[in-house]
Amino acid sequence: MEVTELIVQARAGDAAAAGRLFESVYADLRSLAARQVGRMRADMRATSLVHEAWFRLARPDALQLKDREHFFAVAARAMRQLVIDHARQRIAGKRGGGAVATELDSQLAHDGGERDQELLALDQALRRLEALDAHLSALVEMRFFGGLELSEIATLCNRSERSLKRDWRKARAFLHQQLGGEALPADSD
Amino acid sequence: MNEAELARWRRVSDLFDELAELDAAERSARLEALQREDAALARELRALLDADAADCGVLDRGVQALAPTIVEALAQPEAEIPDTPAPVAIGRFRLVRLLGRGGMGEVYLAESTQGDFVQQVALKLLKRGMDSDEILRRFVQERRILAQLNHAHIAGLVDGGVSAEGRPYYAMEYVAGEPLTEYARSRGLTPRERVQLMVLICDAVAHAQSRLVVHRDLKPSNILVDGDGQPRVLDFGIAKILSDSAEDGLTRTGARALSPAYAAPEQIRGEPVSTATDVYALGAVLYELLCGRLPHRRSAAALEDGDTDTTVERPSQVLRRASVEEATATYGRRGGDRDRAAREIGGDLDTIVLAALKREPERRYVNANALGADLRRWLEGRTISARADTATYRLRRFVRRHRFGVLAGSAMLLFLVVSLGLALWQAAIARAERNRATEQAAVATAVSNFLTEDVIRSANPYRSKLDMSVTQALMQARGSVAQRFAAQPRTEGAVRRALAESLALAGERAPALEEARAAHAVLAARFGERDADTLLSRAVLGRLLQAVEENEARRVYEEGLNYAGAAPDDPARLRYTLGLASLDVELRKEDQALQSLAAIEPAVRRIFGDGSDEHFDLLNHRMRAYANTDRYEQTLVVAREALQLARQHFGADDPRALEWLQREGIALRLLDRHEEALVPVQKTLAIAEARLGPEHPATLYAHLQVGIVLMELKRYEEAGPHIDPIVEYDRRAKVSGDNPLTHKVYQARQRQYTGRVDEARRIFEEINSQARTVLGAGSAQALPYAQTLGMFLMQTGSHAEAETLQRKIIADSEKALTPGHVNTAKYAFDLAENLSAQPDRAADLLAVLETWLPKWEQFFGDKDSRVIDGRKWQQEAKQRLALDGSAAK
Repeated sequence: MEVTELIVQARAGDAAAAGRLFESVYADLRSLAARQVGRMRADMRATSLVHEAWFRLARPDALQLKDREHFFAVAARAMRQLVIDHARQRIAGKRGGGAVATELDSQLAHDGGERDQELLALDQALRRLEALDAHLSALVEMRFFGGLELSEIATLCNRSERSLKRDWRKARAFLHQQLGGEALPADSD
Repeated sequence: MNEAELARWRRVSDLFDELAELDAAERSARLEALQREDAALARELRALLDADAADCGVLDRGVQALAPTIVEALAQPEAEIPDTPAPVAIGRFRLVRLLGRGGMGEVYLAESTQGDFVQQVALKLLKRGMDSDEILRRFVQERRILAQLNHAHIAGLVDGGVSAEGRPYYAMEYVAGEPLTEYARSRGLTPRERVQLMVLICDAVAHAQSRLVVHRDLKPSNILVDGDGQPRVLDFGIAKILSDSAEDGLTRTGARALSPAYAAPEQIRGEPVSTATDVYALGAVLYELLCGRLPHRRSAAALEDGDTDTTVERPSQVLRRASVEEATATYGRRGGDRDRAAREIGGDLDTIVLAALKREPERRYVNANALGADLRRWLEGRTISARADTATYRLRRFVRRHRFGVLAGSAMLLFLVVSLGLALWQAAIARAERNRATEQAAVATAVSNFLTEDVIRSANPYRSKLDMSVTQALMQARGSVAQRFAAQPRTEGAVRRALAESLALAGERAPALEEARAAHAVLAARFGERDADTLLSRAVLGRLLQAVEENEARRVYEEGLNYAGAAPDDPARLRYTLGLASLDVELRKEDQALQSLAAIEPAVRRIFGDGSDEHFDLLNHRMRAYANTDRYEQTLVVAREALQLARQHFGADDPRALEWLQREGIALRLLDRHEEALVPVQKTLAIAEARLGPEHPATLYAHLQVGIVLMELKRYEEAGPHIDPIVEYDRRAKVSGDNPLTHKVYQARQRQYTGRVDEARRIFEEINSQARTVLGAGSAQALPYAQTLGMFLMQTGSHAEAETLQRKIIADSEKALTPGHVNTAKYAFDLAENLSAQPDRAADLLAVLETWLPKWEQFFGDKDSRVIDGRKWQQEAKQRLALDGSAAK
């Protein structure tokens, strides 16, 4: 079934359509990622994945703004799922080889294993936030996982950037607090 | 999640919204109040606010920043890295011994055996924690390029991969040597010997750069010198493989892996790297090599702030200040003789090093080859090229600062002129015809590329030995337009239009006109006369024609009105109307011009905007109309209005505001309010000097205006130093056109009035002969200059000489212009004045007056001083003749 139709049906409350929509977006993001790995690294951004999924799956002009918002929300959620699934797989794969102890004195990238754990912790915290305030967690999905700019989200959701910014700070503070303030790596250096 | 929890969250959430916006004092007051009300709530809120304040912002950068490899590796989750114990062999290499340990891992001496041949390599085994898959992938990408690097002074890359335990490694030719700085110290090399080494290093880097490989991480420890004194550069291309390349801008780990001491500012800022990035590092290495210190003492904090604008001290100065111990640490046994080394470095070598260390990449040498070439020049005692900024830098800086329409002239100024064409073009793009924005942008890029590549680059002193002037460059570039933009009429039109404007400002009127005509023709042929681009080109053509072919200009504008949109506020229609008004001013139909300007003013301001070029054009035409009709009060009003507008839009110090400040001064001068006029012209001068520097043509022009006002104030001696610099500049820069002649007239008068009559005469004669050469002997344009010589001769008592010249001027003028032209009438007045000073020439005077007094009456009116003088002379001459007649009887 056409993604465009799925979106419309999902928005109308059709749970089966919503499920299929998620699956198809998830699959598409995955194949996009696969194709892009061969390309230049600069293209490897969550943003471009989500945007490209939009243009590939949905014919933009056939949908209204609300549908567009819905699509991006779904895509961002799929992106989150994809990243978390992947982190899980890596952790599962590593367990056999024993814990990874790394010196982090290098200025280079953090070890992947630690990062995977952090992502899972973030996912957990995000679930708690979702239970309290679904709008905030959706915002985090779109911004953090979907890679959308606040201004884009503002347009999509028809909200002022200012109020979104406040929400973003709040969500960020919540997650930060949940993660004990230390769990997320600081900026390199 | 129960209802109570949700309700509590909503409460916290609302309070967060409220308190997040407050300043610290208000916030803590509010929190204290809450504390009394509901301590638990206050605590929760405080924790959230603290978290907000403490947040490091990692979430803001998105998942790709936190986990770039995850996003990337999504497609291949099965690629896992097993962790196994430490190796004795890696890949095909057997590890011999540990050479060193660094931040990135260990370096081993290793061997590989292939048949009888044992190859020794330096094998770098990178730390765990670096992303092996990613590095391997990039390594494969880069290897083919790196394999092509084959140079005596480059240690080649031999192999690379991921070790059995999952650590990335790479192997390169083993160099048994010392790091550059240590070698130089241990051998006690002289500055000259150090430069000789540096030249070889530049050659190596240049070789790589010619194959499009930028090193990115040059530093003394990456440059080893072997026992034979041959330097070898290590780790080519490695920085790119190891870093998250600066281009992708996602993370800064790449930049952070570099050695900040030698990293160029653009690397620290995470901007794209180029060949000039290596030039910076080479400069930093040379700096250290020469004086023992790094060019910048940057703290980590300064790096974060992007504060990379520290000025670099000259290496010779650093060395001069160094203690003997410090000097010994650099020069080894020669340390005691640091003054001699400092002397050797001081001057050109300092200049070269600092040129390589410029903050903006475009101001440095373009690549290692250029730096090496200049070092060679220094070694051979020839003139170095490092002095001026590169053209592209000037272009950028200028485009940023916008345009100013002062004089045109020398090669220096002409750089700016090209940019002006570009700026004008970009401005036109920006405001007009938005529906074709994309195509326009593409065209604009093409134009800009053309100007920077074909025009500016050819004038870049680093590219060619010849410091070609931009006029020459523009002329040369003209030849390639047709071929380069064949079948792209829109781009060809835009390029030709930009060339036309640039050439016009460079004073090259004829080729400018040709380009403007060609631009219009190519666009009209392809897109028709009503196309917006065609209409714009027509406006440019009209403006250029105005200066030379008034009638054709008028025809171009009038014809254009037929093609322009019918609406009174159509942009093309407004432009043509402006042009026609300007022509009316020239043709002494000032009132008509003023009327039409008043009619279109609201539309001009609405369509193009207050403070737009068109708006200023309008004010300019209006001011000229008033000035031409001697309505200096109104002239002053317009100048002040425009000045205020320019200050408002561009800032008080902007060159465009300066122009009008200067005009205010000129208007005041014309009102004979000389004391008042001195204020704005001096202010203009002060700002121009500060903003543009003492040598800038605009500054020199501002000097001239001060000089003229001082002359009016009869402060002749003081005026000299203000007038002479622009004359000297004109001569030195070989400025074309007739402006230099006008400047010389002021100089000659200054000499005349300060009693240096011989010098004045020499200058006046020079002016006359130059005018004949430049403007054509006997041409209408040359005659006013001959006139100045005539006046000088007359004033200094050489009446006969003056008369011969004046009669010739009148005859030439009658030939060059329509008979009885107003200008000829003015020349005739000079002759009359000359004759009137000689009582014995009454008959000749009467003859002249008989022809010309009626003309003066016609042109100047009864109240004009010339008419009054003429009538007086006529009467006096008649009386004298009558007297002589009666005496004869």
